[in-house]
Amino acid sequence: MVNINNIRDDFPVLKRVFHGHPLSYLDTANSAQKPLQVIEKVKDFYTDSYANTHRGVYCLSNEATESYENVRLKIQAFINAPTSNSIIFTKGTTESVNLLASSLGHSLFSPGDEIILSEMEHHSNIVPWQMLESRVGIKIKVIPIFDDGSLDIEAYQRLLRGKVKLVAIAHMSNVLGTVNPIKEMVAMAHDAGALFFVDGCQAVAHMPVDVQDLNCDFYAFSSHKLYGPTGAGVLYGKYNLLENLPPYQTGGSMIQRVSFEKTTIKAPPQRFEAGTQPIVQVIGLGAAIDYITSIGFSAIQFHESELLKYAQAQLLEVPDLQIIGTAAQKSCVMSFGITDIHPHDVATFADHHGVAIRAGHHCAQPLMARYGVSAMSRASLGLYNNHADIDQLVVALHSICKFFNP
Amino acid sequence: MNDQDLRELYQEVIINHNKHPCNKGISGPCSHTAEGDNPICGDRVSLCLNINNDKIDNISFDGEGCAISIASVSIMTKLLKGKSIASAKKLSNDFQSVCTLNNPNETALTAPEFEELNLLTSVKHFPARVKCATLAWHTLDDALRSQ
Repeated sequence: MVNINNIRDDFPVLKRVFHGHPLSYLDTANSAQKPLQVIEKVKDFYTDSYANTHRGVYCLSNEATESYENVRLKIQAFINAPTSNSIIFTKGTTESVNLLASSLGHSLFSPGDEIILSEMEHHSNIVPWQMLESRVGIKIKVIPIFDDGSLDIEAYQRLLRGKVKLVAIAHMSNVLGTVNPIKEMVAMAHDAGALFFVDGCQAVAHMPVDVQDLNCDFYAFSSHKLYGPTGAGVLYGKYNLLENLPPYQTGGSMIQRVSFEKTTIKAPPQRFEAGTQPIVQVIGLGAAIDYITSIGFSAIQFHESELLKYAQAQLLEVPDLQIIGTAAQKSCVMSFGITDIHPHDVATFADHHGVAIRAGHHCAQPLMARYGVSAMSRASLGLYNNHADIDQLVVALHSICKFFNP
Repeated sequence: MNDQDLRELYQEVIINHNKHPCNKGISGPCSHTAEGDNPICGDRVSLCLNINNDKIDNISFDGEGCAISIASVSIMTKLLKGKSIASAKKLSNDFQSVCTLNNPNETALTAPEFEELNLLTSVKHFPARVKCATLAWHTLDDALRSQ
């Protein structure tokens, strides 16, 4: 069981007051707040242990290298990857996708090959693939979604009959909260001869991820959505696939030998980690994983699913409010609209009640267009949220409804 | 920012302009057009101006967005009908500089005809919303440069 009071004490920012109200932070899908354990780990590392990694002969550098590589091992265990050399550190999910798109663009794809995306994807899992349309001549196909925000798996099956080389899908939607049936979809893709990339950016904070069980070929996520620092992320890939990928960024660290005549490059993961890495951010990510593991996903999921149920029931009491995204498998994210009141105005009123929610297109403009809107309001849950946070939001929403429709 | 500021921004006149905007629906001919949008929040506006002999004979818009952006474009089109290009440019400059606190001419909008526009300037207390109020006016600036 999550002891919510103890957890909230770990997040000092939650004590802040805005417009006379305690902060109700309902924007974890945007970025998660950080516990003291992560903040202190970052500070301590800079204070006592900082040195560049993989570059020094002296003790301090060896220590830093070991600490950094220990986080790689930690992540291997966290997502049950078979080996630690299948874990690449990046600056975040966006960089992970760009890396994959660029490297696959130079190796896997030929003109006329197809990539399958879905209507619910974040721009970071759309635009990098679109760059390959003009550069390589690939075609993008899109799985439609039903009104409840679930994927049309029959349509996916039909799309797989084409010249598909890659499927790239979110594990959990940042707008709809939909949790997609990745394991089933991966199996279908492999039967059709296609590789499968999972955008796990939202999912990793809310559910255990087992990349071997999913059998996906690539999986990416960001530190800052996992209660860790900004500036770090992960790309997991099956090692035999990574071995055949050309590098993305080049320069120091990823080379064996450099001369003006010939330069040779390292094996993965170092092949994809050029230059000085976000060392301290990775150390912070390790501390975030320790923090989550100490609470355990069983307790986190129990807490968050109960809170989601409570929140949705309360939201539906607000006049003219519609929740967008009501799939049977859904987690932690509630996008909604209120008739004739624009999300931007909703968010301003919410802010005035100390409530932080997001309003806009959520980096998912195709999804907004699919629902016929330019923007949505979105409240999203993290492990530090409680009933009072939801109650504060609902008070704000009732107040805005009365203001606009007295 | 306090309760008073929120109520100043969302005055009844702003709410009414949002609910029943003036000059909504593109009605040509359009000698000058432009489109503007706020990618962060999804506000979008298209302007059509019919300018003859340096005078804005007609101005209409299409678009969607938050109450602030719609009220702003509605008030703008109501004010600019019949105005000269020079007056329109000056008004645009004055309004944007007051909203962004950028060398504002505090007396620029005190004339009675600018009362509704002056109400909108309380958006300066809401930095995240300034772009909503100024979107229509940026788009106007683009339209006046177009042909």
